[in-house]
Amino acid sequence: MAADRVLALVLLAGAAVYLGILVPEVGRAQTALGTGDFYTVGPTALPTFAGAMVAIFSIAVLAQGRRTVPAASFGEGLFGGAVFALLVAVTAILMPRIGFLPAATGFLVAVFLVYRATRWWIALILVLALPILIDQVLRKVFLIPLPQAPFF
Amino acid sequence: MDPFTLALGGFTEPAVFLTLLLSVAVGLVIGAIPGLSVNIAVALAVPLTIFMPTDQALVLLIGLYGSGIFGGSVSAILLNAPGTPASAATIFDGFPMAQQGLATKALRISLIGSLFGATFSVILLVMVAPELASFALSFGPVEIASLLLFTFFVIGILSGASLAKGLLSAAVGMVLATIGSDPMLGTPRFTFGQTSLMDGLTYVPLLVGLFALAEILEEATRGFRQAVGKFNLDGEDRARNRITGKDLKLIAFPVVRASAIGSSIGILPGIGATIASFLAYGDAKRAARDKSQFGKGDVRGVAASESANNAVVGATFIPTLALGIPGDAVTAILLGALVLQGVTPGPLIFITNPQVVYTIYLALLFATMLMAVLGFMAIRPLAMTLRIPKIYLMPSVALICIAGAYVARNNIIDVWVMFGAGIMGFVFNRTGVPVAPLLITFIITRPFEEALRQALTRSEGSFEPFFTNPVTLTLAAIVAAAFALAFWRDLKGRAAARPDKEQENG
Amino acid sequence: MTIRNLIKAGLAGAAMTAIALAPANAQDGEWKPERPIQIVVGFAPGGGTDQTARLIASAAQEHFDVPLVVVNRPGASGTLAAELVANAEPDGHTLLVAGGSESTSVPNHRETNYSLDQFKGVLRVNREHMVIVTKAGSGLDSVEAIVERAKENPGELAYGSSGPGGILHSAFLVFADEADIDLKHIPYQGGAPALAALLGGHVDMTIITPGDAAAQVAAGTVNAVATTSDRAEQIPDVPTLTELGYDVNLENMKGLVAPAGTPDAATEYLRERFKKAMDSETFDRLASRAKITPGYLSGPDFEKAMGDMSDSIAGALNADGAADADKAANQ
Repeated sequence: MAADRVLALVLLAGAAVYLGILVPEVGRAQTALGTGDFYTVGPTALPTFAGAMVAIFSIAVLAQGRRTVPAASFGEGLFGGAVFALLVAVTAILMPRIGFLPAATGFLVAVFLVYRATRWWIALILVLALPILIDQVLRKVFLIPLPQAPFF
Repeated sequence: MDPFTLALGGFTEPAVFLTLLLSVAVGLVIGAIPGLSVNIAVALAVPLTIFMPTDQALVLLIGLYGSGIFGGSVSAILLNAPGTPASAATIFDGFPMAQQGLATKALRISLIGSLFGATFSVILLVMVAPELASFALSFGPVEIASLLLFTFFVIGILSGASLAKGLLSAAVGMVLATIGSDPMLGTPRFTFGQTSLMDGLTYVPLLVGLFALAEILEEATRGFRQAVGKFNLDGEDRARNRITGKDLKLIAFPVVRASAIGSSIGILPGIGATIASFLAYGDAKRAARDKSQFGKGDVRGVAASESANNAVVGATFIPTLALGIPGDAVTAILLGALVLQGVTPGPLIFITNPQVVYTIYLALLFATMLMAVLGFMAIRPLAMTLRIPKIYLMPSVALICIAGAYVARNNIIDVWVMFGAGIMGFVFNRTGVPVAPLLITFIITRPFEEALRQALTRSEGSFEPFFTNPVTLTLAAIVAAAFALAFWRDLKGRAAARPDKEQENG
Repeated sequence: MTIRNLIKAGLAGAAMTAIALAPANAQDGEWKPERPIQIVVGFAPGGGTDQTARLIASAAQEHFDVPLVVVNRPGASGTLAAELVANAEPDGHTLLVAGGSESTSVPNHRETNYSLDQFKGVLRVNREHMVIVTKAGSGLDSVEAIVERAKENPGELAYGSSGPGGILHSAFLVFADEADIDLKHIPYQGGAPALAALLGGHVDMTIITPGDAAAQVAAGTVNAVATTSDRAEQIPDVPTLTELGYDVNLENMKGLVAPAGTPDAATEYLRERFKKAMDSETFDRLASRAKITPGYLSGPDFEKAMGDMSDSIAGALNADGAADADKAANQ
């Protein structure tokens, strides 16, 4: 099945979950709380509308057939993309735990290794300098502390 | 000495002038970094202003603000990552231009557009602030809801080839926008108990993820291999990137219209530069005879988007100065800084502190001019950054995006928002679903719901005010006219195509 | 990491023992800050809470050996910051600027992941009066006029608030409850849009700060009809609701609090230093320039003041809740 139809199916399923489970949940929570004013259009109105729209248009896309063919087929190079996504995710997970500096450095090292950066001296400079640069600029100039590890 | 001369004199002081120079330069840089928006920069500058004299403080904040909006277009064009939310619409044509080796040209067009828009809005501000402000006040929930509903129709124009996919994208954007707290009752919706989500998915990380990260992921699938450079020759480069008279003629009308749109939206407190630039972009596309290049690198798209968002800058000062009500987050910060300085914003500011008012006008003007100069000098070197091999550039940008997403609210959840948006953007790109409609619905939905429900609360559930409101009716008429025009053009196009087909078959 | 925690725990324990054993006065030297002290603000820069934070931080810096860093964590009407500080380490290095919507109002309207008793007061810095205003020329130039019109046409007069559950919303609920009138609530995203709505005639009344009220009254755009606590020095002619016969005493105050487990030595140290800052000439100058009304209260008194406010809002909500259930049933 074409990639766009898969997406439409996924979104349709998502809409079903959204409309079937999540939205009524909000409705229930609202009546439980009971405070505040309650006029004709409540908190579930817009979500219901939005969910319905997703459902309707997923069906439309499913029914349409292959009208627009995107440039690259969906699966091309997917592995490379997935690996990068994984690296980003791991960095995001590690960042609050071990601090920005180690996580960022690890991220850059991993990327340069996996994607085989040829000029190792550029890679080295970036690995050493960039995380520190980002961290220091944000910390000193903008006074925004990025997560810090206990020993950093 | 009258206040104007005093204000002007203030700029000759070395401290003030230096502050202006510095803030414009810093604003350009910050605006250009994806994830760090102008708001953060201005917010962080406020503590510095407590102990500064008033004119220096104003110059600092305004310099950052004005040039930051232009700076956002730099990364929008070069990296597909809007440096500030206001530059989101610049991506659609700016980035394709960069990919065709026309980055310098795109940046120059962007600068011209920004310059025009900013100057337009400052002139407007100086000449008609009080009158326009009162008009802006009359825009209540009914009018705002109608305006935002009108903006939804821009989706149709942005959808490109497949309307169904565009609408699907828009619907997903709407669903994402429902995450957060109910605007009227405050009840959490789909937040799973997380207080960090009570204000909804944070906009900047979503934006950065949807465009920048998605693009980087796309590059990752190609192993960050450098595309074969067709445009390495400097000579060819220069020639192609020059702004010709034809270009200027082409963008003239769109820029003027975009500035008008930008300023009109800017006056209305709370709508914002992003919506303005989208509307202007949609308008430029709709009005163009030859729409084929839009989305692939049409200079009009870049010019319109950038004129509009800079035209908002001066216009947001109109309610700020004339009424003491901030037009957006940055002017709110500015008002706060003024209060700390002992200046009370409000309708009487023209009488109690005219020098402050003139300083603001002059600061806006000078900042714009400086931005043009500095920006112009910086364009060529900036475009050169695209020559950096992708294997080094992309991961670095990704890292900056990660840091930038976190820094938005000092919350790790925003990094995940960016990540999720990146995956989604990537998937959408690969399946031919346009991303722009998602973004615009995401931005509009919450203010729209709020305005709609405010209006309904006022009218106790009846839709009657909508049908009798002049603004609503005008907008409805415009939409109807636009649809009719498009339909008629479509018919004409098909009639013209039929004789060709008959010739082929006959 | 564990060793560090042990050491911290040991120090805290030692400090507490020392306090318990030492005489009641002269606590100086028992606790000292070891790293920058974070003052967390639950709102965006430029707003009143942020201004107070920066003012007190600037004025107090000279009394501290460590940097005082103001950190903005805006979101969800200040509840995000409140939640953060409530769950922070109670070692005296994390403070919240409390006393506003997040402390007294929001927890009464919906469930929050923190409660007022998870905080320990350090001191109150300033008081921010709330002034009820109506549009000039609307005929609603006094509280009397408002109440009269509201009784004749129940549910017709509308007020704009800064958001559902916020302190403006609560203030109007308390007022409506006391005056026994029916008002329509239209929430906006903050005080500024609510004021814009008032000026545009889209709502009949709202609440603004005394400074703003003075400016708008001078410009002839609004009527300042009453304050919700006592008279404000910026607009001395405006009566209070209490004077007019309605038992309302609400304020948007700002002060510093620490997480509940913070040792007394720490909060006492902080209170002393911040109080010195408030008495300083720098603070006087900055505060009067920014038109801020200083209102010192000690930690425990500040806690009590917030508690009282929260209780009065809760009272109005319970009464109102019943009325609203009726309304919903009739829709």
